[in-house]
Amino acid sequence: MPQDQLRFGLMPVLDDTLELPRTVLPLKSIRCQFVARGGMAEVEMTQVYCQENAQPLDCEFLFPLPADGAVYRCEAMINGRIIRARIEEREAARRIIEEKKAEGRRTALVESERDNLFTLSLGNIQPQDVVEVTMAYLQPLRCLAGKVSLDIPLCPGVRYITGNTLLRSNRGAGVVDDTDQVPDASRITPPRIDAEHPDAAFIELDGQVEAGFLDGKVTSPSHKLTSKKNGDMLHITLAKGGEVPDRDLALRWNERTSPRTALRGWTSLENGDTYALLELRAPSDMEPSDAIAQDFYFLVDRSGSMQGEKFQKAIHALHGCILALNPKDRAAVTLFESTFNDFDSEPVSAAALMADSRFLKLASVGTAGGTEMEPALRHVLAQVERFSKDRPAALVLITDAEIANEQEIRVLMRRHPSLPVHCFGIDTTLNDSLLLDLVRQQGGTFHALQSKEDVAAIVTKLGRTLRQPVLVNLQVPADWELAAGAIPNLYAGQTHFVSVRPKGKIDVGTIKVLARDHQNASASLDIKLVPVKEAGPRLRWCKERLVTLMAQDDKSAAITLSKESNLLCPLTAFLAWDEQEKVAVANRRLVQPAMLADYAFDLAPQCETLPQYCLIPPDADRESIGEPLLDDEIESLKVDLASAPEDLYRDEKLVVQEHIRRLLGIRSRTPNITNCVNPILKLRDWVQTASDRDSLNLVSRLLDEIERSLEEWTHCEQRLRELTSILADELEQDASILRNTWCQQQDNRPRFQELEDILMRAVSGSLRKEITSTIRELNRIDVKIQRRIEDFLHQHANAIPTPPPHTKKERC
Amino acid sequence: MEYSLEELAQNVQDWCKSRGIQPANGQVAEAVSERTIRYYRTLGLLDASPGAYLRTFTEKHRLQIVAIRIYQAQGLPLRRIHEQLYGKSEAELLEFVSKAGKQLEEIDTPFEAVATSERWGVVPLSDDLLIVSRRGRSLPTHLIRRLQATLAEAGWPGFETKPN
Repeated sequence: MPQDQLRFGLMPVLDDTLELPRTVLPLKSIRCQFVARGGMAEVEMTQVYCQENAQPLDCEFLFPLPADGAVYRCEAMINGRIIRARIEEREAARRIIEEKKAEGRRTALVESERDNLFTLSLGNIQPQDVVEVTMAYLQPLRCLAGKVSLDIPLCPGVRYITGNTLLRSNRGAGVVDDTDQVPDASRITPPRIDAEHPDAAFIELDGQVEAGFLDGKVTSPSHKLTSKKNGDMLHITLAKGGEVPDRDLALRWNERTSPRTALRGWTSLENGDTYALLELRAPSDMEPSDAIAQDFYFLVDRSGSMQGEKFQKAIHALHGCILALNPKDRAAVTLFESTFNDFDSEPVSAAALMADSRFLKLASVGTAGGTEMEPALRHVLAQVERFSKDRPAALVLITDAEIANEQEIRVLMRRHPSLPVHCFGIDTTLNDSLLLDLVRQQGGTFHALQSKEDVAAIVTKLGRTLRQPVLVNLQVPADWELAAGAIPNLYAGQTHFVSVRPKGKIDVGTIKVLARDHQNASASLDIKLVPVKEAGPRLRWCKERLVTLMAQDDKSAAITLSKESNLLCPLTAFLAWDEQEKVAVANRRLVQPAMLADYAFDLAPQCETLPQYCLIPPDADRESIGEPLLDDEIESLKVDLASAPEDLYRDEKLVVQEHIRRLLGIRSRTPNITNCVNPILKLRDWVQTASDRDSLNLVSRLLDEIERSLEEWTHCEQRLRELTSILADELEQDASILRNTWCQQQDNRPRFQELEDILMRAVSGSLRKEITSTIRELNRIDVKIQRRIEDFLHQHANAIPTPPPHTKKERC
Repeated sequence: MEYSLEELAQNVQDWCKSRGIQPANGQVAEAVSERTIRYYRTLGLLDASPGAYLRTFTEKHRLQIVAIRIYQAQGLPLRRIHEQLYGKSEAELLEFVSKAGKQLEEIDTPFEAVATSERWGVVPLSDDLLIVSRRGRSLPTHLIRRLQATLAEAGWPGFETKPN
């Protein structure tokens, strides 16, 4: 076969014997059970694995848990035998697991990559093995604009990796190389599959919410749920089966609230030590404090990961916050992606911002680039130094926080300990680790929102809380020890859980918390402590202390506490192995892919409904305006000299009409220019009735101009085709849609919009920019042609005189 | 054998060219470039490379990309290819690539590669089968009936032989 005659293989070139047996992914389902009561949720997440491949495997899976969850139990059920995992220092745990694996034991290792990201490594899993790994954790319920919220992470978000690639070997098997800023990038970027994958795991939900304080229904912005009251508890399940773990599970409900600050406390006794947990619940609404004027610095994420609904909602959130500010307050807005832009050069009043029409249209700025938060944050902190030396200031961060260099952000913020940070996290797979840490470190509020929620309404309400402190300078008596450094200020609608323990043998029946109220008056809060059998108070205390020790970089104390309390931290790992049976040692490692987060794949349903290839629509469906004219139709426009009506300017008109026919021919060869056919045909009609040479000359010049524009269009379209080919690898499925869309739709603008949407989802970088600009150029030319013709017709509408009398005679 | 990114792209390109392999439906780039390989990696179609620079790609990576191109030549989208190739060992990949290469060498009839400007027409024969014309031509009804009858006689599922 000559080299230049390449084969092409849509036909069944290769026979069925070549089909490879597919490697079956072992993760079958994720079972989530929870009980929410007393301000806490006890959650058990069970991953069910079934090994259906012929050879033994090692398997790795990256999964999320809430950043503020205290993971206190891990157990593996291997073929019916339950093995309780224990905590070891991380490197030691790895060594032990390697030894046990080499001995032929089935092993399980759970390591913490981030506060909210964990890796499970299963070793020597044999064919037909069934392994269930259960992680149990205790999570405080969050308050959201008067609503109680429980967010259970099910899908690790896609994080933006910054920095320069390292030359050393990668630490993990992820799809991104390690970098100087994210040295473990390859450990937190798993391969992903979509919901259509035959092995996509399902989720099962079995939850209970204490019904006693419920006010109304339990709702979810993320999933369809069913609920049924069962005694004191409301039983919650998923309304339909087949849901995959491609987004976090979010639950919201109202609880009956008190107009005053509600205080509760519990104690638990463990090995002679008492631990107490205090709940401080502020009323959901209060008179805003206008006494002190503040400066608010809004840092809004407009990176590519915020694309679509998320960014729209982020801007709604921004508007909501600005509207809720005090008239004396000032606000500065900075949008960031790979670079950053300030809205104004200095902080201005909310009224000044809202009066600027550009501020109201801020969503039209759109999204692009990477999530480079650090340089933008550095810039904003410099602005705070510059403009707010003598005024209280606060930073408001609106983002999905899909970054991986959290530590740099924490370190940067530590240099500004007196700057409170209020965080609005908007995502279906929110990286809450950074936002919670910032709030904990700086003081402030944290609100996790799903992009499908009515963000504007919620945030307008929440925005008010920024200037509604209920209790500030909260302090416990000197004979009690806080697990974390300080109690953050309590704002309206917030609930704080505070972990304390007595320093010596004291009365633990009550605790007196001192504070200042919103009018700056001293307040003394007596909280009665109720002894409970549950380990909640101890677990929360240990979790908060671990976080504090990690922040202080006291590794040795953190490891000791982690082992003593059996709570996982980034320096330790859970490990377990099966002593009952020796099995074949696996020599294949499989990375269980995570699911594509649903925001990244919300085009999928559209993809399914569109035909895969570009079909020529039947004639009956063809619309005369949008579809290219066929050759015979253009032919029919040819002017027959013999039958042409005789008038004074017949020859000129014939020339002009022939020119028009030629243009329609060009247009027919460039079928994607759709909006200018009608105007050209109108022009042709106008020419029929034209009665002076000047007008015809003008039309001739206009036609020359249109011809040049059409040539320009053809050139641009050719370029777009070339770019589309280059892109085809990246777009894959979308490429066919792109071409399909290109050929079939009737009107340019929605079509271009759709193309742009596809491109935004599928590609990045300079190629995307070039394609986008080419599409815009095409659109511009099309609109330009229409406008030129329409303007011409409008200007000459009144210039159509009736044919002058005696035309024939004059001609003679 | 170890390859740099550039060497890997060139090696696969040469392999495909020597066997006349080209993507089937014009949806994918005709050449395997470094950019393509990076993209495959982000999709998880390629195993993670041990590092970012130097000669960090192995024979397994080469086999994975060749296998991807073979599947693409059959019209499979990357999503399906991912399902087929994920978790495959080097030995399995080698067997697949060797067999496919052999079969391709035995095929004599070259087809003209598909151009992106083609507009395809599809004639459905049943819920299962379609005939694709690369020039948008349709088939006359009597020919469709004859094809359906032939398929029915051959016992193809979905076609029933009508009694005379």
